[in-house]
Amino acid sequence: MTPAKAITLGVAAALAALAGLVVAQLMLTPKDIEIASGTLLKQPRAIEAFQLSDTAGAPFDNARLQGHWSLVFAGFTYCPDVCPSTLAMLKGLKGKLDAAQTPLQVVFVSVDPQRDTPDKLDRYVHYFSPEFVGITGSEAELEKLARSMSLVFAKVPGSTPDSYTMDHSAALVLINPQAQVAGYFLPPHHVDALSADLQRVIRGQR
Amino acid sequence: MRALSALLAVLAIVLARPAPACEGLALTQPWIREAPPGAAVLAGYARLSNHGRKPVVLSSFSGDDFGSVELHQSRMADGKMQMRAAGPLTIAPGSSVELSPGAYHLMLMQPRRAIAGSSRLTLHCADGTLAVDFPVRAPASE
Repeated sequence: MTPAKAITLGVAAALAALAGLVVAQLMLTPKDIEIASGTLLKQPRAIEAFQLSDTAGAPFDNARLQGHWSLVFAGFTYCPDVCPSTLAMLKGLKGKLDAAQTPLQVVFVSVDPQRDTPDKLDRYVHYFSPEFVGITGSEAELEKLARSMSLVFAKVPGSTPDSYTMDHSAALVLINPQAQVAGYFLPPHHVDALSADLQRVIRGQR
Repeated sequence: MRALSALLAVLAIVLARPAPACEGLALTQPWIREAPPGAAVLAGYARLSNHGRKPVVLSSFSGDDFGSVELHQSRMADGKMQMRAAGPLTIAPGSSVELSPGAYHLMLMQPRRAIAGSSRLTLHCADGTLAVDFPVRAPASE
């Protein structure tokens, strides 16, 4: 083989490898819409009819999720570490979205109705923001909502009957104005990334 | 004679000083997360360092302002947030353990007053106790 031929072959092989890489990249493009801080479902999912109450005692059902974007977070007030961190982060997020004229309803659903009375839940949630909505209800209704939102929660006994804890999904659930599950955000949550993503999604009405 | 009396004086000072409890243990950056009014549970954080040559074992925690204080650990498992009581905490010589949001924290239960300003918490080690004032504040990053 002459040196010239060898160089030509080498270049051809390099070009073929490059083309292969490009094709592989195109084929690996994900089906769901990737955003920096979470995942949007390609096909939003309907939420089974549920009936909970807000901390003022008003019904909170599917209709309260209609007509605006909502972000739902499950937790409980006997959670002094992770839940306050998340709610404080959501307060920061809400401030950024408000400043950018991007409306969002933030909903904290207590999965511990046994200890979280409406009064207790009210003080807890509104300490972070008077605009946040705290909801809870019977275990059966909470189960329904959790199932539709692919959330899980479970009671874990503590050293005394009163000191049990709740394991709960760490995801933030995004609900679209048609009251359907539109996507999820998983921790660790970063305010700036969430704010940028939500502005894009909510303004784009995707 | 003079040297002897000087030596005795030094010895007297050394002997009079109570043996340091939790020998080698340094607790820095203590704080309690400011909680919503009426909160039934609060969280305390700090950095625990062992500058000694022996492991420090913290067997339990207490505070006059609380009915019960336990060491807990938050962690993520299978997409779920879990919080569990953590047993005695051993800090190896030359190492540190961080009590910080989303990880180890002191679970401050059954508050006996509205917790504001600061609250004194006590760490129980094999050789005694160490009491430290924990100031109450909102997290710096929030």
